[in-house]
Amino acid sequence: MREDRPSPSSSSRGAPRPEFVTTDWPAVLHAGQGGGTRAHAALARLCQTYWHPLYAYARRRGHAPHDAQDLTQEFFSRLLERRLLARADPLRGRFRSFLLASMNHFLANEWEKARARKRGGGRPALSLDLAAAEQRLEPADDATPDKAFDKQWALCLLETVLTRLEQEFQREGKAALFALLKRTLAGARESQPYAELAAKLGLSEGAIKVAVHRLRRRYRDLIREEIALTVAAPEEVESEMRHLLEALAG
Amino acid sequence: METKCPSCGRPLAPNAPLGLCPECLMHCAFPTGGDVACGSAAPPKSPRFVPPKPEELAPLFPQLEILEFIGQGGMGAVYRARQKQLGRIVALKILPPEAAGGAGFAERFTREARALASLSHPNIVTLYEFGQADGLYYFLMELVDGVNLQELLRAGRVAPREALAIVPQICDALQFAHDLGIVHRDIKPGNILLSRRGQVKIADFGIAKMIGGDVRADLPASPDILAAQQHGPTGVVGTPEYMAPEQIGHPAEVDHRADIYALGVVFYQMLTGELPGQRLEPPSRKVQIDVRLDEVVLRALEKKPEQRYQQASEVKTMVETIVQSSKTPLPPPLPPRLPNTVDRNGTGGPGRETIQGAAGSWNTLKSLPLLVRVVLTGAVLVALVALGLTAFAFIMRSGYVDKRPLAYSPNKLQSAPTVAVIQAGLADPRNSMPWSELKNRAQAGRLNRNEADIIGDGLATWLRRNYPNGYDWPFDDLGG
Repeated sequence: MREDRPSPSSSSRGAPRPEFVTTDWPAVLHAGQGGGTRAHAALARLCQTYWHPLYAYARRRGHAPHDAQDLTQEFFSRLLERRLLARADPLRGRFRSFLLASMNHFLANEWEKARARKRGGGRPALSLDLAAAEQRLEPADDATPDKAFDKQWALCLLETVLTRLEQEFQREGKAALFALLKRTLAGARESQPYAELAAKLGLSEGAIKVAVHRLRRRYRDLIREEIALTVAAPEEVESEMRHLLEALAG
Repeated sequence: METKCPSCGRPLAPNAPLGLCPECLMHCAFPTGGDVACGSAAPPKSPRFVPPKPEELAPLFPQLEILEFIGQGGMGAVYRARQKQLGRIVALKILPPEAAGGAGFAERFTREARALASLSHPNIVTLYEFGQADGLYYFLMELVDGVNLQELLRAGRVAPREALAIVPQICDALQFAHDLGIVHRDIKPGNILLSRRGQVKIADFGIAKMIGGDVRADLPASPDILAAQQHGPTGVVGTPEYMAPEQIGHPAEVDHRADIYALGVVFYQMLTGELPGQRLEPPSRKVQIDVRLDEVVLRALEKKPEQRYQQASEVKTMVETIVQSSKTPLPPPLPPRLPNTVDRNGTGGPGRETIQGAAGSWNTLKSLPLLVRVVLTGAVLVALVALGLTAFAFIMRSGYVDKRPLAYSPNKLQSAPTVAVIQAGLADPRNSMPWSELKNRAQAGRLNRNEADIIGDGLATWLRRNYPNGYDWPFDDLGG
């Protein structure tokens, strides 16, 4: 697995785009025990990031919170122990689709048996904040569970990226800057003219423009980076983004 | 915190990431080549099953007037249409192309559709016509003006009275189809329609089998089925939450009893508003309903098909019996805390207090629970009932005679569900009628282990409650 971290995009326009890392998660899943701890850790990180959409999916299908939690835990522990055979063709490439298909398969075939066997004890595979998860659920609407899953996935991705971004700015001592400028990521140029922002931060308008530009660049890089972890080839990043945008709109 | 996105104006949900509008954020993530304000670029749509507009369908169905798109869900898109010649309003359902692409689909489609067309019943959505139009598989069906159960359940529970009116109609539909050898395989709230006139109509009979092929859950799903799953239709091979265990484990051996299991799940969900969870709690523990309904629901939910009701009509009879008998005056309520069933709010009836007055004559009896344990491990059902009869012999011999009119006549007891008979017996242990009936059933092999447990525990509780000083028991003639 290629694990070079991409260098921060300080390149000028026209320079080649940094290499985005893909997890090669299909290989990890099929590798069996010989996968190596780094690959496994990467997969575990993915699971820890995206458990909420699966929890939301289980809830949307009618399972009570406690059952949904058990279900999600059981599913992920199997996934991480590589006991879940991949039913989807992983060459399709999307971790998101794979997870949903596997979850469906798990629900249809194995959950009943797992429950019957009453696996008690053992450390849970993931740390789940159940109360917070319940709060983050959308009120029941017309969306099918699949749509709800995709939408939650998109929200999860956005939250992960924004949190990373926020932390980066905090580490550089620019927390206030981020707090004020983050709205520009949602395109709100009209509501907060640069002149106002400049005044608030004691910077020139030109400096604000540059800061906004850099923020957006970094945001886009991070989003692509995160999405790249869930697809098999960098070319798929954009189509995945389109799909997630639709999911949010639906 | 703002409630609307300043950029696009859409309402901001409380779970919006960092308080920002998710759609605008996502828009902004696209490269725009130059630093144009985020959110102005509209990304192209990715392909997925978009239901055709009515005018797009019209040329494919010259015999129909396509009136409007009703909805998308389940296994396709549904439209309201009018058959020009007959002047009849119908529902036109088309299958998404991805779902219909598998091997042997056309053959399965025809075979199943023919079987469905033979289902003419007031509680089954009638299939009028089926076929292919320009590669698009379609059905023409009865249009039901109403809602489906899924929509009702989204609002929470269904009132018990309504649930008890719905279930018998589902049973009628299932029994009719089962008698013709047709199994639905995908009974779930989404497939149960309720017309404005209160009539239940089951939809999508056999469609799961049609699309899923020879359903073998252990084989890898073909890419097109997965695509169908991802693009909208869920549960191509049935919906897991409603699937009987044998449907999950050995799909090839599934028979009509899988439908009965699914009915149990739906029944449970109607009464309690939830799916039966890991710990199967009897519905009356969650809602104020007749305790006897627990037995019905739980038996339909038995893991092993042979332990379920074997016919949908049996379920209907049980439900109707309970509904009927709850309209006539009940026998004195159960003594509280009947283990193996549920807690009830009822207190002991007048009979209990009067018996306590005769406590003196029971002082020599040993504690019952030991006996119960012994008997239950031996599973001597008849002996248990004999035990009960012996108890009454003692009571009778103590000189106490019940002069109250009996609430249950022998005829009523014969046709009542076992749990009701047991309750009658435990409520009024001096009354030998329910116990005779139970003895008959035990001898005919119609008492099961669970019922024996209830009798044993019920007696134990009752006796302990009434004779706290202990009581003796003639163990010798019981054996085991």
